[in-house]
Amino acid sequence: MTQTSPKGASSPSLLFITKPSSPTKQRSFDTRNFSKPNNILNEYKFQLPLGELQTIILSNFLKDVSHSFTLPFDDFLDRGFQDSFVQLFHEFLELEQNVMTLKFIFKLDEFKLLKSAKNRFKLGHELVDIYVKDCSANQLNLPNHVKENFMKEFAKCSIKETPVTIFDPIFSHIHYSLGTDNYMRFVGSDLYAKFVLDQSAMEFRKVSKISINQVCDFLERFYIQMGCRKMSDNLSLSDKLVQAIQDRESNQVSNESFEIEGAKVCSSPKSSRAFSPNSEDTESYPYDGDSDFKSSLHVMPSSSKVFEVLESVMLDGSGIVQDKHYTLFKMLHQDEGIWHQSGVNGETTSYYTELNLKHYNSDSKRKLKKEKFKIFKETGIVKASTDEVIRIMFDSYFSKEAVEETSHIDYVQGDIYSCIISQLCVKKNFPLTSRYFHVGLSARDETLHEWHIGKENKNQETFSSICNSKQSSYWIARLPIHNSKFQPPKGHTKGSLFGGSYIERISNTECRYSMMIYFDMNSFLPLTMWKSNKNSKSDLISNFNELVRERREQSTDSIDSQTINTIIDYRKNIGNLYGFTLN
Amino acid sequence: MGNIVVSPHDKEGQHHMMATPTSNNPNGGSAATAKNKSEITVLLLGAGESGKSTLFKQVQFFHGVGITHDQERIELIEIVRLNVLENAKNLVAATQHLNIPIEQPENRETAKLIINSLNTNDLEDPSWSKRLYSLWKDAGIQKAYENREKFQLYDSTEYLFENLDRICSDKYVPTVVDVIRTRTKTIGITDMKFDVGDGKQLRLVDVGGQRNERRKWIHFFNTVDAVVFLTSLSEFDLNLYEDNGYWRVKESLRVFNEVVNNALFYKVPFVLLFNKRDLFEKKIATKSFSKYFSGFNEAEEKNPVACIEYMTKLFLNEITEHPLDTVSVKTLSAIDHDNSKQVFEEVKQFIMTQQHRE
Repeated sequence: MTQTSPKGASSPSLLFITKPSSPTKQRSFDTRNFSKPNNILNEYKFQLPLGELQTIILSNFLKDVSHSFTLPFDDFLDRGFQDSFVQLFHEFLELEQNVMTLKFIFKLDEFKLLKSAKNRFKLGHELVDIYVKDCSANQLNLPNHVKENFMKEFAKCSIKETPVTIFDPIFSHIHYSLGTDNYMRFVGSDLYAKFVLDQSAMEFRKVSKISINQVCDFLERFYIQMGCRKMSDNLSLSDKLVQAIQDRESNQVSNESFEIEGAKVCSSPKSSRAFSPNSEDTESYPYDGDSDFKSSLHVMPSSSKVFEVLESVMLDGSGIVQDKHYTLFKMLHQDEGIWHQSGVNGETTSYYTELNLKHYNSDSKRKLKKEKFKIFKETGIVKASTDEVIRIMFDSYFSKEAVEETSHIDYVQGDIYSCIISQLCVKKNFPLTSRYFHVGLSARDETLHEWHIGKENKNQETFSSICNSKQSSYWIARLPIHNSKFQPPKGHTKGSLFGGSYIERISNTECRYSMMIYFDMNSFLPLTMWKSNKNSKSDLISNFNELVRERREQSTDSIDSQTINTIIDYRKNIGNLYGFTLN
Repeated sequence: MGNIVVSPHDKEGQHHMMATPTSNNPNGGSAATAKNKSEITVLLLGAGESGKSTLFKQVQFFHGVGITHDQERIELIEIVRLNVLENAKNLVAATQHLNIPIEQPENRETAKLIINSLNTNDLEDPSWSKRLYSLWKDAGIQKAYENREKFQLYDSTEYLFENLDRICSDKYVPTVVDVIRTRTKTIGITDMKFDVGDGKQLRLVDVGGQRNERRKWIHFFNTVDAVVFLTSLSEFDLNLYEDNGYWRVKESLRVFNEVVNNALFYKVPFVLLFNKRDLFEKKIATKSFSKYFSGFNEAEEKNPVACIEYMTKLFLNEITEHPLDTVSVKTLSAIDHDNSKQVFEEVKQFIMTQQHRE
């Protein structure tokens, strides 16, 4: 495919098919505990099939492991109040008597979404009464100067004018306090460990034999799915688990013992199902390296979110990019555990994944339906700055000489992201002779985005310096368009394309380019074609590097600013939010 | 550090013992029953920034919990750096508030960046070590620091600025001392448990100390077996974090009065810890103690022992209900590992002895 790749940097491997989702069906999502916001504590009291020993081993081990993964507090909050993990934090804060702080943060989201000043004024007063006033039982812990300055500003508010940002100083303060105090304890708490343990118990509930690698594989996927970043650590998870088991062994008083892949462990009689002895009559864990099973392991808390975004893309079809799309790409990109390497060709490494996303069938709420979403990813190092790469991409995108299959047909301005709308044509062998795609494409400046959502003071100077910087990282999103206005030529078939590219700054002269893409060819893909696509080699990165060389030789001055409209508009829109202008 | 033993025959004590209620104590059996309990709950109470969480961290450290491993301290890098930025911002803001100019132009530039855009990630760059240290040493900033009683600043400011060369490095891993000295405001209530022998566990409960946090303390009052009340010796010239017009000592005395005379704690062993002795000794060398306490003999104001004795009497005067033979008073420097260990051991022994007596 060529719509976003530079000249000749097509990715012939990026073809696969899955049955299109029906846009008319209402679905509810993942049935696992993750999607249930309430009664989490009760659930794992009753659903833990693992024995006492496993609980002890895993709890101690998990506490240790949890330090190897870190989930930034902002990312955590982005999961939303109804997210089961956030609900668990809510439970934790109830124990620590600080639930009001979390409630305030999410109430503030409601406040910010209100469009009328009158409604903001009303809710603002409620928030002040509940969370700020000295007499309130739910008063937030605020320093004197923050509270006093806020009250002075709030006194100026009226039905006609109540700024959306009025609570920002309070938010900044409590966000910092919650993130540096309670949240730090939460991620090292028993409650958190039990939550993770429960997920593994659910995963392994029907089996009695599991290996260390299987447990570690599950846990690593779990943490990464939760959005955690892996921190450098000398010991691998399996080393840690073996160590935890050996520690346990040295303290164990029972005489009964069993083995886990060479690590001899003592067991209490109750723990016969947990890390069980080599019993032949019990069901074994079905993991055998099969990719289907690996992806079924991947039904994680965010799977409902993945599905939700994918479904909204299919239902909406406007091509207008929103933050949730970038969030999804980011999540998939960071989740190294889901990708299976399919090959390396020169500087390009190719991956594929099949996400098994479970959801309820609308016809029968109890029946689980499984959808496979096959996504490809290609990545490698380009020897150019991020700025050069994004310009090359857009140049190629608009160059009819370079990419014959792509034509630019419209330009749409959304709230924040503007989109270039293009028609692409992919030609393949029978039965996929010609597939037309209508795609909305938008780009985001990651440094500006971080600044926009960050806690820093917002000022024109910083805004300008970011916009003028040539050292940002960029995300590019591509969404399918189902508008009847855009139709393929008569007799041809229309497919859906959904993808994201990340141009990640490594240094001033190097960046990592990663492209993920999902295709729905509106037809079944023959198995032979799927296999050949899966295994075919891509020249994406070497072609990029060649283009960089060519472009440098030809001219460095002929940058057409019209070609990067989506980024310029994005910057303008962020600037407008804060009253800044783009130089 | 010297301990002050309060005997029931102490002059001040006699007065208070006479006032001890005996009949209207709704939960007087708390300590008596505690003798047979397998878990002893000890509350760490005190106003904000009295050092409860610092002692709590030290106790965790003695027991191999939390910050003993590099991996766990790595998670705290951001908090240490946030402390640096917070201190730097407060100092810069104070120069404006107190109308003290930052003298060097390059330091003024640094100050501008600190206020507007500097974040914790920037501190991975070692060049910030020099810039921040240069700002710290600027005569204007130093003058503001000398007047720190006029605004809110963490106790660890000097320590953090003197260690910038380590902190501003991409290889930085906080040391145990860094973590102990890092200020994190405790919100809500947290606890830890550890074995104390005889099949018993001690559950140590740490709480937030600001006014709004104190409403939450009541949740633990019914189950408490001992109270350790901390107050900061070095706060004699400071006002409250949550109320700038209110003297910290007055607040501490008020909270102490409410807690120690609470009927629920009638028979509960009570330890009063005068914390931050190290800072206090430094402070009285340059600041007048008697200026804040009209009843104190000015000639003695550079004598820490005399000052602490005076403070002790102030606090003990607040005791009207609690039997004095179940009160112990000690001084502490919670940032000092050895001192914390020794004092906490004594506190533990005192609590256990009191329980056996019951």
